[in-house]
Amino acid sequence: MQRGIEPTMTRMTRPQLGTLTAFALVGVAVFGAACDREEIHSYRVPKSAPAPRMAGGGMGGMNPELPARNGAAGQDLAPSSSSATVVWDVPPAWKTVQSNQPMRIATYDASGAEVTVTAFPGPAGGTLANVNRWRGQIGIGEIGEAELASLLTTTRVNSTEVSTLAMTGGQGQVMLGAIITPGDGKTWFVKSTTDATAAAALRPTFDAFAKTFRVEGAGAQASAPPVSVPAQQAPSQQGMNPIEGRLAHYAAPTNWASEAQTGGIVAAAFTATNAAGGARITATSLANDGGGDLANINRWRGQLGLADIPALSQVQFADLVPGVKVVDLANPAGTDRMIAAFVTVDRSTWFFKLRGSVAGVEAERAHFAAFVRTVAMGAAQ
Amino acid sequence: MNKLKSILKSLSSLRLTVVLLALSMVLILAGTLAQTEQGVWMVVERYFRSLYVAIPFQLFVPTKIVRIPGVFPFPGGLTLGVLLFVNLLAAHAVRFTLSWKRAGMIATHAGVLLLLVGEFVTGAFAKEGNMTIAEGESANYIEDTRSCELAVIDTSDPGDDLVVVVPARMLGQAGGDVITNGMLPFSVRVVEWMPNSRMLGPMQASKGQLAKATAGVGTQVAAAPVAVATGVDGADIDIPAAYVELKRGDASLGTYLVTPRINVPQTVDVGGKRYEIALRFERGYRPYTVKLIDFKHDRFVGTETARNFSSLVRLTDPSERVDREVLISMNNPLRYAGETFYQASFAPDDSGTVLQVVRNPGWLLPYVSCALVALGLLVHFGSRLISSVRRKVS
Repeated sequence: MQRGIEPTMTRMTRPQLGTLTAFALVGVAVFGAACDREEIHSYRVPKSAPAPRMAGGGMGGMNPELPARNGAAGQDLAPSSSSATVVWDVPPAWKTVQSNQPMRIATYDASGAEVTVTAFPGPAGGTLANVNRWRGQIGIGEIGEAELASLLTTTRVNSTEVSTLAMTGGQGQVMLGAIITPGDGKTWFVKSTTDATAAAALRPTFDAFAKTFRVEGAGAQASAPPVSVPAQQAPSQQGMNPIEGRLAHYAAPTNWASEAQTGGIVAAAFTATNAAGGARITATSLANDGGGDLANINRWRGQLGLADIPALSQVQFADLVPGVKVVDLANPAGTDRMIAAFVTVDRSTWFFKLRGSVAGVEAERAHFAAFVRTVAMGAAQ
Repeated sequence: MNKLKSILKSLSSLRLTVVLLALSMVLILAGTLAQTEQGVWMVVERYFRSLYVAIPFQLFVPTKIVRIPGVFPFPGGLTLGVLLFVNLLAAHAVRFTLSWKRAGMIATHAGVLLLLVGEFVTGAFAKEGNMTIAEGESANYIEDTRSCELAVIDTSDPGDDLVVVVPARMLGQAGGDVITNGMLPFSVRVVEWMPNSRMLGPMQASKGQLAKATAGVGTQVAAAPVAVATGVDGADIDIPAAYVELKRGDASLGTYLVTPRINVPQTVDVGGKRYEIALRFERGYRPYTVKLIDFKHDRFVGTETARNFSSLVRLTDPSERVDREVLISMNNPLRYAGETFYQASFAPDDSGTVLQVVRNPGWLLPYVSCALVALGLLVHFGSRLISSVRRKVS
């Protein structure tokens, strides 16, 4: 091959040189185009569905802001997963209140009484469960189906079914509530707790307010009534993780006090008091696999002063809740114990932890198992 | 003209070819060894798509035997590829003779040149990312899990969000410098940058770690650096994290922890206006929307062994008046708008799908180049064989 170099040199023609130059120029141009300099830039995108929110978080509820105004004075709306939109009329005397409380779609100041609006997919656990949850919040006992019927006043306004009620709590406070199914596939809840005098004055306006909820928009005619499905099968909507919805409805044991200052990835935290020293319970979520099972288990082990393990095969999972991975760890001194359960749902990994003294954790073990079963796995409470 | 001929002669040297091929082999060896310490894509960028690379001496000797500090400079894959390309082109320019006798060799070399061009086009222009869609939901953007961006989102417009994006590479290179830009409502000072990170929960992080952030989620959880994923770590990807101080003039708006692991929006109030900030995988928005109607994960009866994954999607592109349902399965990708959608993975508990979306304008070049090389070799050796047989017969 080397032999041919000298003779062919003399045979090189202008077209050949031109071809070579053209190749070189194309190469330079392609190289220049490929040098994609990374710079700060901006663009506009249509609003997407709200990002997943944490049930107990302080970062806002299912909707990032208060419901957007639709232009009509005193009327609020909330987007729905379908093209239908639920709207309602706000009494003129009520003031919209900014709130960072989770799950809240709207909050109003009704002459000193706070009125809240929330919504959840499907039947959201059912009317009886929700009423009993509310009863627990005001310190009165649960009721059955028979008593529920006498407590509720149910009316139908066009396609919207509205059930209202008033309950007096253990401290004399009165809770006004409304459970509304406007036909958008969700159950809407309106609630206000105030003293007896204010509640009596508020109730007519409150009930009238509840009856203004209705579906508007292109999907109004087509929207089907809520489908009765078990809570654990309720579809996630608006980017909401099913665990968030269940957590919001979870009725904690009486010795568990919900911690007010949660937020961010800590969806909920409880302090359990018991004779054995108590314990703390947290529900936390992280995106995707949350760093991986082994990494998380080793972090927990490190927290308790235990050495890392090299492989998941060496982990002895505790048999606490079927379908949920659970580890039960204690520090070498036997003074600090942690039961951690974790499960992945909808691109988030949820961690449920029970931590405290060895005896304190043991005393809450059954409650914790029920908590995980209900919230993580969607079992009936 | 004579000078050009002289340069071309030097460039067409066969000795240069041998040296370049030898250097390429050393580079491939170093790049392969480097994957025990660095991620595959980092190695590809640093070793094979760069002009030069600093190769650590330690790469060739296990630390158990001896520790060797220092690096030595070496031509990167881009340099070697361009030189090989020029070398081959120059050789043809210098020795070019169009004859049937040389047709096989010309076709073979044309194939090799095309292969080099193909790799260059792929390296420069190919884009790939993931589209993750939960069942019943839609997506109109692709995430590149190899790079991140700090997104500052102005949500005040009821119709659109205005997104200002700071590439994560700028955060990584800031080193405490303040990043300012007229499009940003505040300046960004990178307090700490972690190319890969792990999260520490509220009960795991120390007070000092929690004190790094003064606002947002970082006051309750912390991030700690971990070693970057290497080429031998399987499918692990780096998930960076950063502590960034946002400033308006001299006033601090707070120090935030940002990482793709945080799945709640963090808001910053600037002069009464609210912005969301997030460090997220780089997004590329598309004019079309893909809605996941149904994801199927079929298993062999009685086992957990996967038999098939498939995603029934609805592809909508108003600008092209496209609205159709497509079934994407493992060996049946969807090709649309110059992109190919492969069934790549799925969300835990089968609640959604992960489609790998690839745009590679040079995808055809390797096939064409291999065909050319094969044809060229066939012609070249075939003609030699025929000549040889003829000689023997005569």
